Order: sequence, then C-alpha cells, then structure tokens
Amino acid sequence: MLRFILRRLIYGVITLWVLITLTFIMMHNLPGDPFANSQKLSKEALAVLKKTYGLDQPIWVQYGSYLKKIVSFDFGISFNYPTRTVNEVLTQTFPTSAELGMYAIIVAVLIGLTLGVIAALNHNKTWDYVAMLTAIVGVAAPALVIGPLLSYFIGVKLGWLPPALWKGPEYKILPTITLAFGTLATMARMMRTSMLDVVNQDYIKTARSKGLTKFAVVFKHTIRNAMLPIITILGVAVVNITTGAFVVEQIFAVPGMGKFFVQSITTNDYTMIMGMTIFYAALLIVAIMITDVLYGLIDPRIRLSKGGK
Amino acid sequence: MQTVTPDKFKPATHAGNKERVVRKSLSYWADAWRRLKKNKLATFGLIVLSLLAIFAIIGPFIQPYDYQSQDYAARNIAPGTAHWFGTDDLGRDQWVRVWWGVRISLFIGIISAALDFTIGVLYGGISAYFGGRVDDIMQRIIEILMGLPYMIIVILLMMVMGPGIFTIIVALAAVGWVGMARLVRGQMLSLKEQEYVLAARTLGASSWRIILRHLIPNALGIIIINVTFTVPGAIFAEAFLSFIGLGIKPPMASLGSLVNDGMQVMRNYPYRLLCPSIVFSLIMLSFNLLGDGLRDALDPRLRK
Repeated sequence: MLRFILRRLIYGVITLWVLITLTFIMMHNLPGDPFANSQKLSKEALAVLKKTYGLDQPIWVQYGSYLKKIVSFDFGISFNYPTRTVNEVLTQTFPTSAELGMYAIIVAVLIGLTLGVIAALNHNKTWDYVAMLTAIVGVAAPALVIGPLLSYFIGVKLGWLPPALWKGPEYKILPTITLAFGTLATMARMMRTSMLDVVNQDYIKTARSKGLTKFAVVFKHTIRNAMLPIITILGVAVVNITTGAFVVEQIFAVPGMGKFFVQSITTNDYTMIMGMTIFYAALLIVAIMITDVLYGLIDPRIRLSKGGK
Repeated sequence: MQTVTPDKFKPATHAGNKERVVRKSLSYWADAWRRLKKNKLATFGLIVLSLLAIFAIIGPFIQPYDYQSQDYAARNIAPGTAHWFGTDDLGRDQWVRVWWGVRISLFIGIISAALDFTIGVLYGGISAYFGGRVDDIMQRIIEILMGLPYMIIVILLMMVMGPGIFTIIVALAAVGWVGMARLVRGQMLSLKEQEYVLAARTLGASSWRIILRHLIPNALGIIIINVTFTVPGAIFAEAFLSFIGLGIKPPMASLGSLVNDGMQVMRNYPYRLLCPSIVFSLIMLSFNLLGDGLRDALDPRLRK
C-alpha cells in the first residue's frame, strides 16, 4: 500500500516538473512583448527593466533561478503591475474561487448522486426520465451556454436573483448552479448506471433472500458498492469545475482566480500567467493524485493491478 | 383462444431443405446499424446532425450577406424576414455568422477527432505490438501526460501559437490523443489473448490476417464510440477557447465568441444570445445522443 502511494507521489512530482518546464519554454516563445504597451521607454530604461526581470541572462540561468523560485513558492511580480506580486493576487482571488468551487462540488455531488439513486430505484419510471433528461441537458448545455441563459432569464427577465456580481448569498446561487450543472449531470448518469449494475449482482439477491429490509439492501449494499466508480470521476470533476470557473467567473463577474487568469492572458502578463498556471496545475495534479490514492485505498483490486508489480 | 385441430399434429414432411437459414445472416455492422435505427434518440441525433451539416454547408450562402461586411444602416435589427437571426452592433448578419460558426465547429471537431484517432491508434498500436521495454517507456510517458490538466495545456499552447483554426486543431491534437492511445493499447492487449486469436493462429493464419481480420475489426467498435465523443469534446473546447478570447480570430465568427458577444448585450438584444446558444446546444446534444446510441449498438458487452 505504501509503495502504491509512493509511486503515485513520484508520478505527481514528475508531472508537476514537466508542467513547470513546459510553462517556462512556452512563455519564452510567446508572441508579444510584455513591455510593448509602454512604447515611450528609452533603450536604457528598457535595458534596466530587462535586467530587473533577469531577461538579459542566458536561458538556462533564467531556468535555474526560475526553478529555485518556484520551489520556494515565489512566483515573482506581475509584468504589467509592478506593485503586485503573483502571490498577492493568488491570496486575494483564490478564496473566492475556492468558495465557488466548493459550493459547486457539494451541489454537484449531493444532487447528482441523489438523482442517480432515485433514477435507478425507479428504473423506467417518471423519475428515471427526469434524471436522464437532466443528464442530457447537462451535456448539451455546458456552462458557457447555460450561464448566460440563467443570467438572462432568472436574473434579468424574472428578476428573482441578481444576474451578476459576487456580494451576498443570493449572488452565489446562479454561479454555483452554472458551475455545478455539467458535473451534476455526469454524476447522476454515472450513479444511475452503477446502481443498475450493482442491483443485478448476486450479493444483492443474497441480501434480499436473507430477508433484509429494503432500506438496508439499498443503503448498506447497493449504494455503498455503487459509489465506488464515482470516486474515480471525482478527480475529473474537480478539474472540470476548476477550468469551468474560467468561464463562469467571466459570465457572472465573480472576482476570482479564473477571471483574473483570463485577464492576464489578454494582457500578456507573463509572470502572472506562469504563476497561475503552475498554481492551477499543482492544484489539479494533487486532486487527481488524491482520488487515485483514495480509490486504491477503497478498492484493493486497483492497487493490486496497478501498483503491485 | 386458439383452436387446436388434429391436423396440427401431423408428422412433418421431409421435403425441402431443412438446413436452410431463412433469415439473412447479418454482419456486425449491419446488426449495429439495425440496432441504431431502432434507438429513437440516436436517430433523432443523427437527423439533427445531418440538418446541421446541411445548413453549415449551404446556410451562409442562401442569404446575400457575408460574415464580415458591416452595414451601419442595419445595426441591431431584431430577427425578421431580411435578417433571419437579426444583426449585431456592426450590422453584420447573425444568420450567416452563426452558420459560419457551425462550419468551424464541425470542421474542428471532425479534424481533431481524426488526428486523435490517427495518433492514438499509432501510439497505442506500437506500444501494444512491441511490448516489453518500448511499451514500458511509452506507458510511463502516457501516465505523466494523463496527469496534466487538459484545458490548461491547451490554453498555454494557444497562447504560444496565437489564435486561429489551425492552431486550435494542433493544440487539441497535441493533448487529446492520450486517451485514445490508452484505449487502443488496452484493447489490443486484451484481444491478443482471446481464444479466437489462438484458434486462428492454430489454423495457420498469418499475423497480418490476424491483425486485419480479427484484432482491428474487434477493436473498431469501441474506438468508434470513443471518436464520437471526441468530436463534441473538441467542439466544446473550441467554443470555450473562443469564449475566453483565445480561439478564433475576429472578424471570423465562432459559436463561442458569438455567445460571449451576445452575453454582453443580452439585456437589450436577447436574440443575439439565444440564436448561437440554441444552435450550439443542438450540436452538442445531437453528437452526444448519437454517441450514446452508437455505444449501445456497437459495444458487444452491452448486448442483451
């Protein structure tokens, strides 16, 4: 077991290193100059600027100092706003994004799984069709479609909820629904399939013939076993919700990391993009790693086939 | 109630060819097609998709406008007989722009899926065929790539290569093939061990015959299912990138950028948000319904 965790950990570190290096290489081949917006700079001033940012040194020296900084969690200063450090921006915007992401995950998992269970227990009845319809809408209308539509119909037309911004609790409902919806639909669908799979297993028949109550069979035997495959997609769900936030925060003007990330892209803010990319990637790589380990812990079959040799 | 008469108990005659199979034997594909046609949702998806494809081809040309010429006399016109989907704030015809967006979406979706398929089958096939050391190294590379968050890498690539249809396809292909490669390798490895392959080998079939007649046809179903889900994935990725301003370069229209533009003005001109949103949803919906139908029709494990 320890070996399995260690193995996943090593892979995580290598993946992170590959990503950090990739980011570095890409940023150095970017079109556009970070100082292009300030054309009135003299040559001397430009040289001084390049020196302060270390852009005059050979590339491998830059790479070395870059790696050293990353390891000590120092992502540098924004190219466009010299008074802002990347860390500052991260600490300012991350809590908002984390809050939104957390709500979305909770809503997606709770409602998605419930819907899946209800659908499976009422196989081919009304509730089943409701759940399946939700799943279909979920894939057909991703956040970038459903977000503006919700904002328009519920926010502007009906005026039930504020169409944008991030202030009181009522502002948080629409962004959460938008961000959660796709994952919720996937969860419902997966849970339904998984439940229907489990229901036909022999141990459920055994549990029933032992005379257990329906409640015990459903909760103790069916749901618990049906949850297993769901854990594998939790990592994917976290990834989808994090990247989905780029769009959702844009739509609802939420002052989070995603909105800032997109802004940095449009203004060629190199250090900002690099810092944020690495932060995002580290977050997601860790999330994937945790779900992998979790799955290994819960289902011994995975650990034996993957990490056993 | 059925009446039972004595002549029902007469012994059967031996005339005629009893061994003859009355029903024509169906090939795997004919059988899959028959099952797909029976699936109402999948048929609906297929019909909608065909209509969308037809409109994508002829749509921009049945109206006398193009996607970029601006007409300041006709700004922000609501949908009507002259402009079926209305016009935007520069007086460009939305109908033409939406169908150009669909053209781009379908093009990117299909080309990316084809590239994913080619790279994935080659990589997975080589990995499975050679096995041993080569397979080990190739699988380690895949394991590292699987850990990288897809969208973030695509965004990075797009920033380096700049916006445009071509760069989107390259960026999506650079990241998208990994899943396919994994799938193909897994399929090949498990199929190689099947009894019918052993049987074919015992009967003296050559390696080529086994690969062409046994391995590929048997893996193809699952590969095709994967491809049908890759297409909407790529279409979504393009819309996502265009939405955050990294995809298609203006003045060319993309469904993602049209939705984004429409969102800015939805209070006054809701049709500018609704038209591209509905069309985009239809594309995603029909591909997914078709994909689901194909999965049920092609995957032998789901057969009842």
